[in-house]
Amino acid sequence: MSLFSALQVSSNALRVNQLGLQVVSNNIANANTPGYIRQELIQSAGGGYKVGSSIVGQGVRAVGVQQRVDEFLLQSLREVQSKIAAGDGVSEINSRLESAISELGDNDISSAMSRFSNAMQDVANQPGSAAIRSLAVQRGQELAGSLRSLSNATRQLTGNANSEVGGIASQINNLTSHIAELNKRIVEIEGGSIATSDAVGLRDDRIKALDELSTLVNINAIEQESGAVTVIVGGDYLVADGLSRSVRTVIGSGEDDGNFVVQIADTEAKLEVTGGKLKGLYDARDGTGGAFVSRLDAFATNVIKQVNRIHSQGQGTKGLLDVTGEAVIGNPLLAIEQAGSEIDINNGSFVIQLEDASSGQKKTFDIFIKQQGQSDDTTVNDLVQQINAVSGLQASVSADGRFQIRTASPAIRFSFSKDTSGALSSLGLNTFFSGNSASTIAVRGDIVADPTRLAISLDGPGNGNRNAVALAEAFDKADELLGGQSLSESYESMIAKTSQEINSQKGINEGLKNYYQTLEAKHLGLTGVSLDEEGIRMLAYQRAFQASSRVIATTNELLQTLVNLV
Amino acid sequence: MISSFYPVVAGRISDGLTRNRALYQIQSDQASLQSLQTQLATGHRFQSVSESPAAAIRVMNLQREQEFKEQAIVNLKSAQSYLNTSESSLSETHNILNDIKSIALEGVSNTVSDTERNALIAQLDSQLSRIVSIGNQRSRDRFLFAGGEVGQLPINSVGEVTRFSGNDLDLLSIGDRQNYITHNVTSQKALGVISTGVHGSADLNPAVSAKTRLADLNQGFGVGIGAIQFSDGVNEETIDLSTAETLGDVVNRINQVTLDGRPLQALLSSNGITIQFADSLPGTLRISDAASGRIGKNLGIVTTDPIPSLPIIGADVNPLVRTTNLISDLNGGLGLNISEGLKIVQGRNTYTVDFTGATTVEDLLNAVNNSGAAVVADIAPDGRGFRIRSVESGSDFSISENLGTLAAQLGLRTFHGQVRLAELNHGQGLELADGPDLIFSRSDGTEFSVDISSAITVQDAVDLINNHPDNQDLNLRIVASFQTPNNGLTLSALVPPLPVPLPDPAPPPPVPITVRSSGGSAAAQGLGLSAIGSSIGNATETSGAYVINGRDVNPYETKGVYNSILRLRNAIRDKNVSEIGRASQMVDEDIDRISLARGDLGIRQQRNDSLIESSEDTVIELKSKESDERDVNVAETISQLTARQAAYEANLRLLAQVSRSTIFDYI
Repeated sequence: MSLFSALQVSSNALRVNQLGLQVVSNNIANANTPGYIRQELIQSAGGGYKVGSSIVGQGVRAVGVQQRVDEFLLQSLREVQSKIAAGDGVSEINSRLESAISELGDNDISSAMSRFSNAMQDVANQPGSAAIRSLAVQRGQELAGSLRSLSNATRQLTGNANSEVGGIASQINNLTSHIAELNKRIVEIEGGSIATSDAVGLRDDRIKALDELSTLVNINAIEQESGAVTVIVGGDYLVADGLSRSVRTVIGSGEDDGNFVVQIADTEAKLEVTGGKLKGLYDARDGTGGAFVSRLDAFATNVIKQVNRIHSQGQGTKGLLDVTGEAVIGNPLLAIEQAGSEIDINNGSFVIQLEDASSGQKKTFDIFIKQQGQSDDTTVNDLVQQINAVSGLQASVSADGRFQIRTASPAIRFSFSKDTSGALSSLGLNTFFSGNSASTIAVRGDIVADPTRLAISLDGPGNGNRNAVALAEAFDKADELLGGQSLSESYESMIAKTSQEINSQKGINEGLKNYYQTLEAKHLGLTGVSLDEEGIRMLAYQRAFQASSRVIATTNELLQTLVNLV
Repeated sequence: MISSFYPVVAGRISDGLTRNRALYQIQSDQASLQSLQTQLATGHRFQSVSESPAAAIRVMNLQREQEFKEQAIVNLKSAQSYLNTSESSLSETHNILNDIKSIALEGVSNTVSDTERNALIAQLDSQLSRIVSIGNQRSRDRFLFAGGEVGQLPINSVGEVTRFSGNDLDLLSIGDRQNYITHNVTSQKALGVISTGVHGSADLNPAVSAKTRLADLNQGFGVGIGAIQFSDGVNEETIDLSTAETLGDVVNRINQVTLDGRPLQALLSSNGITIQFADSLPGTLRISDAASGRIGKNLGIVTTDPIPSLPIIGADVNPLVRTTNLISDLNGGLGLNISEGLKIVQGRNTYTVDFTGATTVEDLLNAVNNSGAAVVADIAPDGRGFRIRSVESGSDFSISENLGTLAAQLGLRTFHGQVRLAELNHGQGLELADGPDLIFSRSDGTEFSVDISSAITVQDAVDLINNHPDNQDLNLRIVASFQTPNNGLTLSALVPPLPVPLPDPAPPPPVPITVRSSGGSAAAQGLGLSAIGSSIGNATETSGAYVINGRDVNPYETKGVYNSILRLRNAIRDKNVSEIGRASQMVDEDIDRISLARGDLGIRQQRNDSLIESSEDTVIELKSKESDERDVNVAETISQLTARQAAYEANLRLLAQVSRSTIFDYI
């Protein structure tokens, strides 16, 4: 032991305390940096050496600078973050879906149904008024328009979600290659030392990148002994050491038919995600949003069927001169039910009545539709023949596959009634709505152009209003098609189901956010900078620095004294 | 909404944590404030369905019910407006009829001069034209009394008659759930514009065919839906007939059944189904309805014997007559000889209905409807035969044969044996005396008398004449019978041949037979055997017989205001006192009819009023329920807002103060 060694110990102490102050100043400087993880100088006492029988210490040494972080907490935080990102994606679409539905207001579908039904009641009140009839047709257009625009809006929402899926792969790839690069550099700098995390700035960057990746997909990040992090998504690794696997967006098949999916480029396996924005987009597209689109379509189809079934059996102000079916017939040689995709009929019959204005003659014809699943079931061509056998009527299937009936002379007009087969509404003859889904529903052009075709009578053209009453009740009559519900009730069930889903999604998200806050509070408590704490550390380093300086001064005096002896 | 707390964790507190908590707290307070503010601004507790799905769905339901009730009120008020206008028209008609009643009283007096009579006629003409314009009254979009043909001018004056071209259809509207209101009064119910139908008394009994619809069987009651079970005692097979539309479908399904390798065979007879084994050999064949079905029973093919005799012959399934039925299928497949046609007499006009070329029932109806006569022919409501009704007021209406017996076969002849004597002469019946009513004078000048007071029908009267003990001498017998083709009775007797050689002294030459009413009776006139106003009918000699061709004494007429006024007018013109009396009686009936219609109208108006009232109450109730579900409790929300604001301010103050202290102030 010598004064020189004391000087050496103190000078080491000065260096370590300076380093300590530097760490403190870095922490204070980054006190407000988001995602910054506070650092601590790890210092240890220097080893001793024997002086006579005593062992004397060699002072202090700086072991390294370490980040204060709990990896397990960080992983939990990322998991929750992924789930929240997924939930947020769904919530975002849900809230837009809800404002598109905009129930409880005056411009929603339920109000449009009420207005259509009310307009039909007005027609029943004033069956002779052409203006009221036109208004009822307009109300029908309004209902169809509301359904179409809601359908378009929801399709757009799910479409947007799908296109966002398209953009997410490149974001994942950027982050995974960045993480792989950081892995490489961290390993190089730290050289596998576990006690320290020397590459602190790089680690901060990597934590940020991992956080960002966890908002896109749920990840499991495991730090290896080397200091590199392995990133696993749903059983597939995306980053290992300095390597990353890229993902890509493709158009899926099977249950993802026609939609974008993200898959691992080299194995072409779908990236199985349970969280993150990607999961949120999938859920929004295929979940509430997608389900609503198909529920709305099913509802609109039932509206079309129900209203058309009633309308097709009624008569307008005058008999018809011609009528063209809405359904497209593929092969007229097949039994009617198999001839087109939109056709759904029963074994039954309907009545055509002709009235010849020139002679005052009325002619009634029973048209039978055999639909017993046998080889002699009525084909479209059989039906054409049956109607052609009616003197004064000409039936045909047009080049574009539509069933047509027209009278041979303008003096003859015809009307339909008593359809037990459903053939008229299935073929789209004398129907009110055209289309087969929420996005295609519309009031038939011939009725819009000529509202006298609105079939408000059941007792012959221009006679009475019984069908207007039936049309007014179309939404309120329980129907076997809808499992004993009325259309209004089925609409309410649809809204109830959708809003219940939205509501529970909100609840789940809120719960996740509360949990996230608890984890975040713990994380911030551990990793965040406390200025008071840093102040105290600063005082400690200052005092230690001053003391070591004093030791140097004292040692210097002693040396001086000794020198002066010389 | 963001939850209003941020968890405080045990352990180290960093500046970042403190800052986060503060920011969160501020956010949370502001979000709460905004939510309360929105509630106050909109007045609603929730803005979207998902905020409170159960309550929101209840609100949707309440809104729907409200919209329905509000429309029902619109319907009821619209109906009331039509009914009120109709009521004031009917009340006016009522007053006019009372005036007419007094005109009738004046007209019946013997002391009326021609000038006065002309004045009465002019008055009647003017009242008639008023009632015609009432019948044609238009309100908003419709002719009030036209029935379902709202755009059709209903009452047309044609010469001395009026014709109706509307119908008797009620116009319906929705007054409440499953509660329909009628918002018109038809001419027929209030004014009387359609005659009683000449109902075909004959059942036209169409033969069944493969195309006969099940719904038309059993007089339109149809058959139950279900399945039928076949058994040969050991094997069973069940066929589901729920999708069967026609008898042909049933037959086809049965023909596919095989029991122990033996196929069944079903055939259609003219009135039902016959079933046996296809090999026509004997065997056990039992048929029953599966479960609670009724189709087998309704087709009459269910067996009760353990070994039923084959073939199993189904019951007569009695299909409705439809316009599409072929004439050749009527009468159980025997058809009808339609070439003979019909004759319709309406007032002074005779219309011959020619059925040439007709093949279906509808062709027959078209021929009648387009014959030029103001009649409406259709299938009678019971679905068994035809019905022809006159829509002309002021004229007599009858149907008779044209050439053969078709009118009788169709049961459409207005004068036949089963007509009750009391119905004759427009329901006036016969004026009979105590004792003999008719005195017949034979060709030899001798007489016999017949008391017809025991006769109920015309046939009874004919029988009483023909079977009278004093009327059995074949040479002198006066035979009563029904004319053809015209309607009316005929009395005929042979012109006795002169004996050869002529005895000496020569017998008195035969004289034409006569019939006359005995004192106090007007039976001869009543039966149409003497001219109106005369009590004796004289025969003419036709082809070796003395014949008295009687008048048609059972014409139909359209009972109603127009008919009564026209009849009264003509009776006053013709100075026909008894007709004036009859017309006056008919005016009474019209007054009764109109009173009844007004009474019914009044009840409907009252019911509508009470429905309006109850619907309005319901709307208020629904609104209040909706408000309970949806509207914000303002007092509560404002106090919440104040509390939240205070908390927010306290929070800000605390944050500002706490963050001010730091160790750096002391070093």
